[in-house]
Amino acid sequence: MVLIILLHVVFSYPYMVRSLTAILGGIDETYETAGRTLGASRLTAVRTITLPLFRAGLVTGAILCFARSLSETGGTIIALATLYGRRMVEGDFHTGPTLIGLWKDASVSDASLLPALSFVSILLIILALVLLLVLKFVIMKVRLPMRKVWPTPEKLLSRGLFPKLKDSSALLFLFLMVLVPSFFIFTYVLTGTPSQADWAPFADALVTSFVIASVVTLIDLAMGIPLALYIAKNRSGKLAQLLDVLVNVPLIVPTAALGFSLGLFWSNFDPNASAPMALIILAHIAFTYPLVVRNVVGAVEGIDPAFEETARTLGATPLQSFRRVLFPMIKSSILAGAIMAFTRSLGETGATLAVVASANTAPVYIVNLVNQQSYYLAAMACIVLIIISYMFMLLLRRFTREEVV
Amino acid sequence: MPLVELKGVSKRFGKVVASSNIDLRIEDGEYVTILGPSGCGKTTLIRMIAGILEPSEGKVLIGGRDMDGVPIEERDIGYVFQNIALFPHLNVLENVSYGPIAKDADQEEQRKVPARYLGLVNLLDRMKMFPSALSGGEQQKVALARALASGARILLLDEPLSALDARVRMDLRYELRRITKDLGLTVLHVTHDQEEAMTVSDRIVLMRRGRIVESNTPEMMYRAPKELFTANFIGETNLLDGVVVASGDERTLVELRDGSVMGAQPSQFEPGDAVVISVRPECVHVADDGLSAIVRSMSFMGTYIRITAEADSEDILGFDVRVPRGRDFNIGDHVHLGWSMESALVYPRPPGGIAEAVKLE
Repeated sequence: MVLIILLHVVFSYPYMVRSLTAILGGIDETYETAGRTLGASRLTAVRTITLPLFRAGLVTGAILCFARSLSETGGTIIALATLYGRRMVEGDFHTGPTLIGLWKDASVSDASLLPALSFVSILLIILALVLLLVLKFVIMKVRLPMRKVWPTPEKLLSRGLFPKLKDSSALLFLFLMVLVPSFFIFTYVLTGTPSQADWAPFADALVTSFVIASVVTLIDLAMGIPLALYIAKNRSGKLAQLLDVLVNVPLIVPTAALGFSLGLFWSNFDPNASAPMALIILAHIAFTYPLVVRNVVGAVEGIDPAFEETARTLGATPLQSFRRVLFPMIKSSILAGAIMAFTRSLGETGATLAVVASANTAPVYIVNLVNQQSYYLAAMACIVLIIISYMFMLLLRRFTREEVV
Repeated sequence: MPLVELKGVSKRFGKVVASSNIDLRIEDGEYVTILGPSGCGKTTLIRMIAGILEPSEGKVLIGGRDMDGVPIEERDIGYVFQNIALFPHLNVLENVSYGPIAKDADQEEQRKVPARYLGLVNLLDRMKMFPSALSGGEQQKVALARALASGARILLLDEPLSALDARVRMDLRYELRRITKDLGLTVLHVTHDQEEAMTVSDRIVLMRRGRIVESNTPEMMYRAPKELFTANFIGETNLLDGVVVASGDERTLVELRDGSVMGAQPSQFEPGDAVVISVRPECVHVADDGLSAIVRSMSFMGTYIRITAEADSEDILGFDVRVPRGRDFNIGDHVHLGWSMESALVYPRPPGGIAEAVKLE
């Protein structure tokens, strides 16, 4: 249990940091300065001004972390299997998604598990939504103590050693809890005993994963950009607001439960799972689509409509003004969304397993390796995946850095 | 005892020098404006006084105490921001109460002080409203009340009026001076608007390219500017190229490019020196003889008409005529222009030319 919590901290930590950085960058720092010119120490100013202002960012970060932890399947299975040193069975410690994965696997031979499976999925989905609402409510309603100020201790804490202590402990946390365990695999491979490696199945799985991720990303782009434009341009409209909320739902719902639901839905049309690839693609679209839409909505909303209006007054048709004016400005955000969707699809385990239990994608292959205790091979495969993801990460950074306007 | 003092203060951002070796004293209770074109380093200067920026070199003293290493909150200054920066999540009263609460004043004061300053800016009835519901002028008044309620003796105003409408700006200007003078505060007001600087301050400090050009009372800055840049930046003026032909105790005679000789205030120049004459439009009048010119354009300004004429000396001159008489002029008319000797000032001709010497950036 503690191990799983630590593991999930690793997965969700970046989401919180990213959300908070984004919102902090958006808050005018004169507010904090203004507070300090009025006599508040740095800590007091942060607590009474900056924190209440970035409450929205906290909510977003908390929701994303929560959703990520609730959804996480692949990592959890691997960690648990490594811990037990064998394939997981019923009666072991389980999280919702790992249980879904296990039962889905078993349901191929034992159809009686299907109702239980549905029940767990529904439970997960409902719990996720309810908890999110509660979380949102609590963060928005609970007010930090604002009227009260403790000048002396707060001043003391704003000075000298304490800020440094805070910064260094945060850094230590990042290294000990997030980075070192994540990259421990490299030392494992370097010091471990090499085993006879058969790379063909992994290469196969990798190709499958890439094909799936590419197709998913292309469909996301083709379908996501028009929706994003609609939402961004009709902000005040009821329909656009509703769509904006609905688009985010797949991001929040645990992917394993989502995958199972999607699997059930699509198997109505394809009862024999004769095209597992197509099923996996459809499932992956469901949770990567919001990434593209959100990125593009954000970018379009950040751009003054006056640019497009000016283009129109200069005689451009709506299509021309999009292609020549708006598109170049949001290009980097579109790319960022595409890369996020791609890597998300590449790494997903839970939903893939829940749709097609016998799926052959790279993460599923790694999970299977761990279940068979082929740790060395699994570690090598992980390193390949890590390197590929890292390269995409670099690409992403480059595109987002180039952002102009 | 000077309340605020800068000694050899410089600030560099990488290679850009925002302030260069600035010395400045501001006396207790003085209302000083720091005036200058955008990018001249005036905001950097008050940010260093506030402690938002640390000087690269030199010292900032407040009340005789070296401020090196003293954080913003312990400098006892009130700061009003150009973008107003009212806390959006707090209502008007909570905004104004922020200072007393942050300083942990006693309950009695936490209640009374904000009400007193809200009363001073006539916004008691807006107490429960949020900043977004107020007009720009009201928001800035609340920001002023907030800064005053913190009990600071020094008020730093960073272009406090430039985000507001022209009319509101005029009204608030007088309000600012009245309130701060009533309270006996020391004020440093940064602005790029020379009219604003003229009307509110006891003293103007004119800056350009990170340096102080000149500092004096508004009246002296207008009537007897020591620098060509000041003459051009504060108010309007006509600048004419010429060469000194005679100099004495009662006047300087300058020959313009067309050979006509015009009078100006006495100066230290020797015959043969290249100079620039500065004469304000309201001091130029039509005469029987003098500088020969042709009327090129006329603009109605309300109480007067501004006429622009091209002189034979190739200088362009603006001059003002009272409205009834202005009707007598037409574009293309031939006129003779003159001015009294004491209204024209003489400056050495800048080596880089007039345009470079008065350029705003």
